[in-house]
Formats: sequence, C-alpha cells, structure tokens
Amino acid sequence: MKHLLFIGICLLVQQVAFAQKATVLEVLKKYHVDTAFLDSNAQQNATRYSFDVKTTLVTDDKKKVSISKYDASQPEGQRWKLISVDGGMPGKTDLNTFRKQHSLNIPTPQADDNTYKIVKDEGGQLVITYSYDPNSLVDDNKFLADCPVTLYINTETSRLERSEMISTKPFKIKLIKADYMNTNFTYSYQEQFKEYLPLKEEVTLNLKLLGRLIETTTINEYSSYTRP
Amino acid sequence: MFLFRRISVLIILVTGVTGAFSQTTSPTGTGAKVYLIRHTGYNGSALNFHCFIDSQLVCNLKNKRYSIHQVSPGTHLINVNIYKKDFKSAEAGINLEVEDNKVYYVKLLPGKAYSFKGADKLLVVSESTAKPVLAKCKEQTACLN
Repeated sequence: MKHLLFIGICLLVQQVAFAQKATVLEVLKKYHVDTAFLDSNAQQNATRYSFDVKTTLVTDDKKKVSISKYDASQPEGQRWKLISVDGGMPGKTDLNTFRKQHSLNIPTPQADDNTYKIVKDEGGQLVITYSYDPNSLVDDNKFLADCPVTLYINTETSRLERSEMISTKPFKIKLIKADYMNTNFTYSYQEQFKEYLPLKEEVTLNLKLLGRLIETTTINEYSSYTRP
Repeated sequence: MFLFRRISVLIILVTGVTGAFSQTTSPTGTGAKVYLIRHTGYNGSALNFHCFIDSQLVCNLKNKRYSIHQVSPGTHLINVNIYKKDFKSAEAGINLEVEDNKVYYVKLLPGKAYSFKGADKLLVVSESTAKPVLAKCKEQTACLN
C-alpha cells in the first residue's frame, strides 16, 4: 500500500513538472520561438565556434582588461589563448591564472522542469523563470540552486534577448562568502549559424573578505564568431 | 540553459583574482536616458567627479549620487575628470552607442582604477547591476553647481 502511494505521488509530481514545462513550450510555440535554448546542453553551442573575448574585471579599486581568443579548431587544452592584459603582453601570473580558469571542468547544470513559470506575457515581452535542479549541481556551483533564472523573450521578433540570474540569499564559494550575485547575459541569434550565441555576460558579485565588502563586476564581450 | 555552465567559471575567475546595453523603455519619449552613477567609496569622496558628454560638462557629480541625462540616438563620448572641470585634461572615455527610448547605466569607477594608462574610467552596466547601486545613491539634480 505504502509503495503504491509512493509511486502515485512520484507520478503526480512528474506530471506536474511535465505540465509546467509543457505550458511554457506551448506559449513559446505560439510565438514561433525556437525552444533550443531551453536545452541545458545547448550551452556548448559557443564552443563549436572560434571567437574573441574582451574581459573587463573591476573590483572596488582595480580594473583589468584582457583580450583572449578561443580557437575551436585546436585540440582540447590548447583552444584558449590570452592575447593581452591592460594593453600589454600578459605576464607569467596572468597566463597561469588564465590557464587555471579555462581548465576548470564543471558539469552543465540542468533546469528543474518542475519550476518553469511564465511570469509575464504582454507588451511584446515574454518572461519565463526557472530554477536549477540541485541534483545537477556540484560543490563549485551548488549556490546556483538559490539563483533563479529569468529569460526575456521578445515576442515580436520571436527571439531570446537576455537572461538574468539573481541570488536570493547569501552563499559561499569555497571559503569566500558572497552577499549577492547578479548575472545578466545578452544573446544574438546568428542567422548564418541558426543558433543563439552570447554577446555579453555581466556578473556582479558582492564578496565578504576579512570582514570587508568588495563589489566585483566581470564583463565578457564576445565577437568575431567563425565556424572552423 | 545556454552558457550557464560558464557562470561558475566566471565567478571562480572573480574570486580567484581578488582583481552597453539598454534595458528599459525611457518614459520621457525622445532620445535615450543615460544614468551616470557614482558610488566610489571613501577615498576621494570629498571631490566632485566632473562628467562630460560629447566634451560638454554635464555634471559635477558627488559621491553616492547619480545624475540622469537625456541624449539623442547615436554615439556619444563620455568622459570623467576628477581634478579639473576641464575637458582637455580628461583621459580617454568611452563611446556609448544609444538607441531611442532606451536607458543606459554608466558607473564611475573609484580613483585607483584610473591608474591604467588610457583605460576608460567608466563601465557601462546592465540595469540589474545598476539597480542595487542606485538604491544606495540619491539623484543629483543640481548638476553644475
């Protein structure tokens, strides 16, 4: 009896989850929006292309601008190349830090189908929210469970324009405490490739270091996409 | 979702180093709105930051203040100078391309960030980045006093 009840609850939960995602898909279909961007694995789209990145990193009183290139035609491990830092040649420390950052291998977080919601559908804009499935997160990104994602879709152009992710409570990244995080990504639908590719990523993070609050902003600007 | 795997990488990048775009429709109609936002901390807080749009002084911005400027669609050069109200001595600024009926947020960076030669001292940020900073600032309407 207990087993039957458990199976019944599981089926019900599964159906609710399916219904929520299905409702969102239905509305997207109504506006002729390509739903490929809802696929978590579509994150890998950009890595099939070669592109340039300008990264601006600002902390309270420091600013660093670096230019890097991603060459998809190169073997794995040799695709990222740091070109310049603050207008000059990168130093040894810059190169080591860059190499370390780009060798991180974090699994793709998966959306929790049970959390999809349409929060706005008017005035030419469709706004969808969802959260990540905590089971798809690892130690390095488990804080994403408390960072709901919001997608902004222009229903007149049928295109995803930007996405936003804002933390709902303080969290820890390794040993560092963060009070607040806000991300804003803008996309461009590349007609020639029939895919969404990122134009700009902006991440603002308020960290607590030795009792001091430090605001950091990182902006990545992408350009010159080519298919190898 | 698309590229969110990279968010962890970006954040680790930020924590490891401990080192323009429109958002909303402008309610005022013609042109675009540019917010100049200054929340630059204690150092130099007594100084006004002299802000220029297209080489015209538009605001002597105090700390923890923001000013709002209406500009025509197109590209505008934005500079800031700490020590003089003189555009000639202002360092390289940013070219901000604006569209009609859009709002843009430009953050003024703290003084030490100005040491990098030729770097702009300004950062164009999204509405969601600007909002919490704006909440800590007051609007400065008497800009040229």
